[in-house]
Amino acid sequence: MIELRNLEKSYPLAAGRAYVLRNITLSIAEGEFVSIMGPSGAGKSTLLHILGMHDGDFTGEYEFRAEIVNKLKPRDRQELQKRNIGFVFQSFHLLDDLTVYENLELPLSYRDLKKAERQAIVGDVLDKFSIVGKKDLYPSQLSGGQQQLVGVARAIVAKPKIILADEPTGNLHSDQGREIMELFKSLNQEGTTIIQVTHSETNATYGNRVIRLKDGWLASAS
Amino acid sequence: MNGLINDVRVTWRRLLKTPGFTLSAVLTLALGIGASTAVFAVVRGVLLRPLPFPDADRLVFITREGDVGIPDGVDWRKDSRTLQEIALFLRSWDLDLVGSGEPKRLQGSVAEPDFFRVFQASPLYGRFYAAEDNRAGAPSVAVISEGLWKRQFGRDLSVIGRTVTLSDIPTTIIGIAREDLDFLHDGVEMWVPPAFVSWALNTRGSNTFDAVGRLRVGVTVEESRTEMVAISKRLAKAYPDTNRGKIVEPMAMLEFMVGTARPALMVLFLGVFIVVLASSLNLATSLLARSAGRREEYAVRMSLGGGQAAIGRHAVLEGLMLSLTGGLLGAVLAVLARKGLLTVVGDSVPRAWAITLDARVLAFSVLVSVFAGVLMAALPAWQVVRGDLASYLRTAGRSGGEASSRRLMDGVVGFEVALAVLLLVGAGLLLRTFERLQSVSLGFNPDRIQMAQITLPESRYQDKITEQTAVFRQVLEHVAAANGIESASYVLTPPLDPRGGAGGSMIFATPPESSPVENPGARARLTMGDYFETIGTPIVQGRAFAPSDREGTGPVAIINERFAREFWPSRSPIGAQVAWKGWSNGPPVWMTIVGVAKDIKGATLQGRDFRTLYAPYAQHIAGWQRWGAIVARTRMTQSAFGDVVKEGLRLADPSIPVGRLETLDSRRTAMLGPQRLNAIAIGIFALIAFVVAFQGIHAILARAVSDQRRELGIRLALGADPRGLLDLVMRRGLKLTLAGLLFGFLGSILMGRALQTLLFEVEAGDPGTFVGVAVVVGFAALLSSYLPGRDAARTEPAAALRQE
Repeated sequence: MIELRNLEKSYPLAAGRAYVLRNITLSIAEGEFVSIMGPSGAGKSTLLHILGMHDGDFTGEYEFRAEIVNKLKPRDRQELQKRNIGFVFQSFHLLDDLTVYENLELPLSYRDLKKAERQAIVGDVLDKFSIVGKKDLYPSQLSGGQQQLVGVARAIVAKPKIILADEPTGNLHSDQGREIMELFKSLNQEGTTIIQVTHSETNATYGNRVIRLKDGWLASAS
Repeated sequence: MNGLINDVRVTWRRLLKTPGFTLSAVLTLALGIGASTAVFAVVRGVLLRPLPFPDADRLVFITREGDVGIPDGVDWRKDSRTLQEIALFLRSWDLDLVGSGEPKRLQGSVAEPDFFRVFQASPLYGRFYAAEDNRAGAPSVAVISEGLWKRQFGRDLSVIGRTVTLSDIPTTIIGIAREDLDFLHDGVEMWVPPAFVSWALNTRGSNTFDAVGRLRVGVTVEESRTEMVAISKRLAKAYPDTNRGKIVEPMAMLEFMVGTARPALMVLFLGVFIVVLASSLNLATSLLARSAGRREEYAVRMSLGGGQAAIGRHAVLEGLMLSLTGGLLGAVLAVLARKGLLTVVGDSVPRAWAITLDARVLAFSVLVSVFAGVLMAALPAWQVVRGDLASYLRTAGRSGGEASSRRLMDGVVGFEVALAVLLLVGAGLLLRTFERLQSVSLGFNPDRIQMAQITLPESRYQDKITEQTAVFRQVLEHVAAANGIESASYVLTPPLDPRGGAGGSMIFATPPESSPVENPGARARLTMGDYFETIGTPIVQGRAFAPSDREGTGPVAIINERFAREFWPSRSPIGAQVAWKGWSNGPPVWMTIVGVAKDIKGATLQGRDFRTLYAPYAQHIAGWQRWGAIVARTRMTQSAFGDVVKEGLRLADPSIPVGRLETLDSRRTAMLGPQRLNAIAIGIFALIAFVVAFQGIHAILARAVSDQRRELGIRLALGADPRGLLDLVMRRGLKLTLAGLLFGFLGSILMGRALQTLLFEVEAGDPGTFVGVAVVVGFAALLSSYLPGRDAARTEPAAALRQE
């Protein structure tokens, strides 16, 4: 599903360049649940955002489902992202001015769907995540765990092939974290590829593979 | 579409969540857009709206240098190939309607029959008069205005064909004209043909005739001008006695009517545009700050599949919705303020009657709203679209973009200061002009001077000089003897009258020392009583008129200082013999100059007076003379003074009504109207721009302090001096102000030329104004920077760090 070949990411400095990612070559197959781990500053989040096509400023090759991402125009790259990728963030990033329902509807509103279709999809997701009763609440009226639940629901509402999660339990206490990880596991079992960045060895055990980064280099990908 | 509706809903919700910001933004915009709508209504009404006549762009006003008469018009018509129609007319000719109750003074106009054809006008009822009605000896006819028909004759159509007595002449009303025919809005109530005025038909070069014309299809004003100048020169050769030096030039009618007002209106328009621009930019910086706080949201939206267009639309919506709401409110304000607007500008601009708030004006306010909205929204949208949104997701909205956003906001606020400086300099110059005009030396004392116009009917007084003199003298004696009158006199043309007196040429029996021009002219002001004493004008050489300067004694004259200076620069003119040739064809009346009067503001406040010659009315230097004004210094009210004059007239000739009553001070005030309007309007605009600019400086500094609270806390915790933080913040504010001041001054110097035509005794680069503006702006900068600076210095390190 994902092939990275000699991928590098750097920033210019007065005396040369500062490398964030060095010579990353790896493959991720469809249906995998991969955890990216490593110390702070290893380049985990940078790699995740490149995989998520938020960041196109890198060298090397990135192939996603037979499309060479680094050769795509920004608009095409965004289209590819829209069709395939869902995001979950550490700090949830729910929009404060929108209700739970509207937050869930937001990704669909960017995808040429009729209102009735959107209503049906959001209804199904609310049902699946058991948050129908919360649909008219604003994020500030939810607990952290509930907010991340909505965050995950929002990530899958447009039926992505892959979910990228950046420290999804970083702001949650352990019970809430476990609940979210169980949710990821079941989504993975239903066929969704999941890549998470995490510091937690426990969370990594929910996946089937760990990629370790150190100082921007790929330390292991077993 | 659904996405748009959702975005609108969410944007509304967000705006309602910050009611303070929303209300102040909407009100700022409403004021700016309301003011610009009002000014556009004035500009459109005065400058742009076509005249209400068919093919109005072919209408010309034939301006003249020197007087012309009906025979001149006959020659023009014969020789002109560029003008399809030409008509001469007297704008104002008092007509007395006698026979129904108290005599009634009507505002008449003497117009050739072709006058109606020039405008391609059709009568409301009845007919217009034709060439056969304008022959000497033809039965007298008149066309009345729609207004007079309604007021005087109660809309009675049987008035057509009715014979009334008009200035002692039995006259048949033959038609009713639509209001538009009084195209200069002089208040004309009745039109009579030149044959009504016995001397008019055959007098070449008679005074005060104006002329209008209609260009042939395809002819330009310039082509017609060239032709009419050539015709004027031919006539000057053929009739040197009456036509020498008299040049007529057609100019587009609308230009003639409003051309002089154009610079002032353009300055007003520019002023209000700057206000809208400054307000929009100020709100743009607020929106930019709000949008900076929402970059994280935009980044999330992008990660959820929102394209740049969708996100840009979202960023634009807030500005557009604010501006359209502000625009709607502004348009309502403009409609509500319509009456007040007309009162304010009514006396200060020509063609004020054409000012309306119609669909086009309201469409303009929509346009301004959209302009303001796009301007306000463009900055945040641009920031969003060009920003590296991924970095916000990585760092939870803490990084990137601040420096460029800060530079952008600084640039915008600096520009706002420059705009405010531009307007402040403009307002300062216009205020100084107004102040100079208000304190200009008039050469007379206008306090408590009341004036009453009197016009004797031509039919009974023409060429009856003794009878005319008797009427004016009897009225004057009656007024002078009344209780409460300190001093009274008669004068042909009181001060501050654009006509400045009767026009004529000078002949010298005693050769003058020098002559400024060939065939010099001068204005004659005939007086009775001690006119100089009444208006408080000093005699600087020789003597004033004495009671002995009357019929039968040697004619005398007093000239003004300009006259004396130009003809006798180093000698006294006293004793010189001169004659004044006006409209009378009689032999010259030689006068001895007995005095020199101080120059006064005879015609306008800005210009110097004409070369002027004062002469006693009773010595008849100008042949028969049927009008003038009784001028008195008195504490009486206007109506009480009017009653005294009316009583004097009743004793002298009960058929003569009192004309216009006014005070010299009201004349001066009316003449200051355009300058007052300019100064007040630009002053208000400058004040708004000034407040907006320094509120902008305060807002960005306050926001910077609030955003950097953690950094400030750390600095203080590490031992920074609070005073250093105060300096840090104030330096930024003062730098912005200095840049704005420099660019504002540069703009003011570049635009000074445009303003120069509106200034009086003040240079566009007036150092006093520039220094004054710099002081005011500097003070405002200190204040607006000090408050956030003090806030920064008072940061509690512990509290700031805990907050984070």
